[in-house]
Amino acid sequence: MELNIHFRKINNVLSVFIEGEIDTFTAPKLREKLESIVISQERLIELDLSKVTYMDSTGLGVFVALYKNVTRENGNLKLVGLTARIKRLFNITGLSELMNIEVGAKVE
Amino acid sequence: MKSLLEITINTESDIIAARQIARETSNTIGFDKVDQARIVTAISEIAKNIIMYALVGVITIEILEKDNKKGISIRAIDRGPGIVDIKSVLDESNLKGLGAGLPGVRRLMDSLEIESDVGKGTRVYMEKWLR
Repeated sequence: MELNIHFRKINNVLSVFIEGEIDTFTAPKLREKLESIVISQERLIELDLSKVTYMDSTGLGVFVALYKNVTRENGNLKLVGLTARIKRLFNITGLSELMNIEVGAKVE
Repeated sequence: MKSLLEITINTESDIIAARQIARETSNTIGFDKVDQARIVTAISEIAKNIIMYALVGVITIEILEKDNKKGISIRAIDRGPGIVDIKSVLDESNLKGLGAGLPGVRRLMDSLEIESDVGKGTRVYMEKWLR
């Protein structure tokens, strides 16, 4: 399995479940999928990374791009279910200071 | 060559029709017997899901060509209840039904994408490429 992306919409919450590895090879697919999301002030976009087994800086770049788009449109973005390894990437880059991140939290 | 085939899934016999079309299409593309069986099994699963949960839906089979590579895509769309817990239905250890379920489909194909609009419907998209 390389990378699979699934969407679930309930009322104003869009949950995005990402499974697999995010690297140079798979990041364009992730970027394309995330760019297709309609951002609005009323909507919460929740990215569930609990099934992400590997991520490099390309992956971080994709999430930063989404974060910038969401911020520009006054939308809401939350990252949930991060494993310790993935969370560390957000910590050492300082992104955890900016982004709304929940470690290990599960989307119901 | 570009081919798009649409099958309405409403009864058990539509599943058989979808299987036949998937087998013929994957054979035309050049998939070997084993991969043909994988593709046919995958389409069975999603067609069965349509009948079980949404009663009616549409499956579209398309021949893909990209960078001199050939493949097949299968798209299923229904207006059923949607999937509330996507993570659970993709969990290998949480199989409830008799079939391979969506984790099985994911293993049989190269990629699987689910879009669920809860209360409104589900879209499943999957691809497999010739090696």
